[in-house]
Amino acid sequence: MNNFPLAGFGNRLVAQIIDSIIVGIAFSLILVPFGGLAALIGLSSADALEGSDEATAAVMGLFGIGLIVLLLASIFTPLLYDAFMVSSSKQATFGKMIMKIKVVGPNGERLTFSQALVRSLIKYISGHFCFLLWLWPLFNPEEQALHDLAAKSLVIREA
Amino acid sequence: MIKKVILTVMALVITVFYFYYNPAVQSFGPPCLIHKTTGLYCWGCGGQRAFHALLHGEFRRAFQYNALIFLVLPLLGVVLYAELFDDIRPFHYLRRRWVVLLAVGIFFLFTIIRNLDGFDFLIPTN
Repeated sequence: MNNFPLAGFGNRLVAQIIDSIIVGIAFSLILVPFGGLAALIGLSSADALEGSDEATAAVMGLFGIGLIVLLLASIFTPLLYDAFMVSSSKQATFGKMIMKIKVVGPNGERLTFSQALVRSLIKYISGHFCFLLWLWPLFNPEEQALHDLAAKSLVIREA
Repeated sequence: MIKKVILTVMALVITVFYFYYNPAVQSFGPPCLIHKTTGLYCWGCGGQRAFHALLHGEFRRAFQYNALIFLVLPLLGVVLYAELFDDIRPFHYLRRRWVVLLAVGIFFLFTIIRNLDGFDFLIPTN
């Protein structure tokens, strides 16, 4: 049992909600250039349906690239955001900073990037398998979720 | 204060959303990876449909979609109460060894049983 002041389930949940909103906005901004690019060169879905072969190819090409970027971004943006922020000097994502909580190792130290990446990876995999797994901290004396157990991390209140 | 406001708003938004949105008619979000890859029903399969059914007073249908809703929802209610009224007692109860073992036992047992022959009444069907 450690002596750190634990963050509390509610604070962690709210931090996660704030982070989801931030990542969602960032994610939308990534997609804007693709819509903008299509508009800039004067293409629309109508061109693909009625226009020349070149217009159809251009629209479909942009759509394909956009789809790939969308897929890659949806997988990697939340993972990297979480891992970079948690392993930074703040030891917290923006949501956690707002809630005045941070992630520490078993002795209060900052997590390395690889530790934070493993933590982040397990967090999103467990969340995608079933949100009920995120209820794990409710039953753990040190409020550790599965991703905390894997990375041996704790989420504590800032001093 | 910000925590209490966000938790209250989220609880209301999710409740209203699932009252009007019927997951049995239109799927939302990625499919269950366990069911998709193995064909087995996990502990969470049918949870959204069960919540929607429960909000409309369809208790039997909610039970068939996911019987755990009758445990998870009160649990979330107690957690919400504890967070809104700064009552830490529920968390102490939840972290007792026998409660943890009971919770893990129920989750695993439910998952196993709903995938056995003869327990079709625990499988979500549209």
